[in-house]
Amino acid sequence: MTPSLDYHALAPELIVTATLTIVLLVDLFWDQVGKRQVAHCDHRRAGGDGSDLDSGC
Amino acid sequence: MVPILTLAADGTDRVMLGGAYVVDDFALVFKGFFLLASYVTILMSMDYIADGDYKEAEFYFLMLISVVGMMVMSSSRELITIFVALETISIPTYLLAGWRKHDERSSEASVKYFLYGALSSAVMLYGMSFVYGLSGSTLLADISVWAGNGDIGVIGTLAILLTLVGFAFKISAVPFHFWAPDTYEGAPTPVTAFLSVSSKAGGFVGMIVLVYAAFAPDPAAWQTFMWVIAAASMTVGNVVALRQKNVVRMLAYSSIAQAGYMLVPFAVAPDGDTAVAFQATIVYILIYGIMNLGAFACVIAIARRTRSANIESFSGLFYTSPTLTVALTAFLFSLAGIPVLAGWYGKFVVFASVLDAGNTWAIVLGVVVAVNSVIAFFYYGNVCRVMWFHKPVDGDAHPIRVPAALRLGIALTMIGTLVVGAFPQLVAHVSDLAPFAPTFGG
Repeated sequence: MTPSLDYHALAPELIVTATLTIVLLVDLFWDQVGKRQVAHCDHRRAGGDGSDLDSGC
Repeated sequence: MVPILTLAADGTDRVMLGGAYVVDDFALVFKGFFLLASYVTILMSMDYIADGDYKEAEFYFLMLISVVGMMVMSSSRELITIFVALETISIPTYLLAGWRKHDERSSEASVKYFLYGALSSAVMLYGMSFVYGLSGSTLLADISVWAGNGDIGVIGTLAILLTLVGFAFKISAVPFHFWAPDTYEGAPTPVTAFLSVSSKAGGFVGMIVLVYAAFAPDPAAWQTFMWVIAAASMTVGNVVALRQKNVVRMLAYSSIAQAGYMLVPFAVAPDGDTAVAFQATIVYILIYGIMNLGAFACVIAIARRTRSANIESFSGLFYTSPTLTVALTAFLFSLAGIPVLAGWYGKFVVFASVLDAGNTWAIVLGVVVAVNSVIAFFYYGNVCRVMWFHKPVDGDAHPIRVPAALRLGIALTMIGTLVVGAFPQLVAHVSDLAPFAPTFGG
């Protein structure tokens, strides 16, 4: 028996599932070094103690 | 949100898989809520995860899987689908709770949450297997017929209680709450916000569906259980929250108490108008989600400077960051139920359901709600007192820099808190969902 699926009704779940798949795929092809630099850059910009530490990275 | 809006505009209930999966107004309201709550949680997470040099893609991947589980939960009308949805919600959050890999408390949070979660899932599945064995079906509509057949016996009552225990764990109701304070404190704060709002709401949706669509015809099997865990959650949550020195831990106990308020309509529903009780729980969940996310967003913003969630580290915040202070004060007052912030309407509908039931046990529970609401004001007020009246601890006069995404998250939740508080009829429309709720007593 083939279950009848209403894809309009399932659209919210399908879109979120597609989004999380895209997130993983983008991560897979995104340069790891680049990601690390962005993370460190943000960390310095945050300044920890709330002070302005814009570094221009 | 677009498909949810088009489905809502269409207005027809869509039934799939022989009634196991239903997309009706009830499901759409909660799907919309889960999506909005996850938007805000992601806004709260963006700089936190990037600053901490955590793995980002996997973090959002797991969070979105959990959101899919929540959306499936709101459409589930069958035991196996409900169980799969609950596990889809839970398993990613076990991992997210331990996302701070080099922090022992985060690892402890994750392990503790996982062990308690696995145990409660086993208990719930055991109960579900009995329900299936006795009713002969996993469809809630068929189980409702079984429950309405008269005496379901001791085994039937035990089956229903074991099934509900699993959800009581998920919503951290007393005495199934032991995981919550340590997990909330040890997990990354955006994950804590996610657990205390979205994950908890997911558990409540499962509980609503089971109680109203399956077990409603035999309230004798579960009404006393609901009464006891509602009263215990409110009392234990609020009393223990009074002694907390850490804001996140205080919010953890506060969320246990808030779960108690949400359980009150369940406990009184069989004695009054089902629609009033049903509406009360839904309205409270929606309002609680908005204000609690806002409170956590403020704590994340403040902790960027204090590097601590200790209440004393919030001293004199008004002198340096008045906007954040006002925002956190508003969210805490809303959680306490102060008008004209959204929380007052949540308390109002809970009291309305109690008065509608009107019998002695309902009134006693109403008194417990009233006393606990007063107790809650002390610990929420204490945080505000420290922020407004104490002197800054480190003498740092620089305002806290709040990242744009976090600022947007705070702004959205603040708008929600103010708008719902001033125009409660916006959420009161969920009473239109009342036809979902059957008449109690068969």
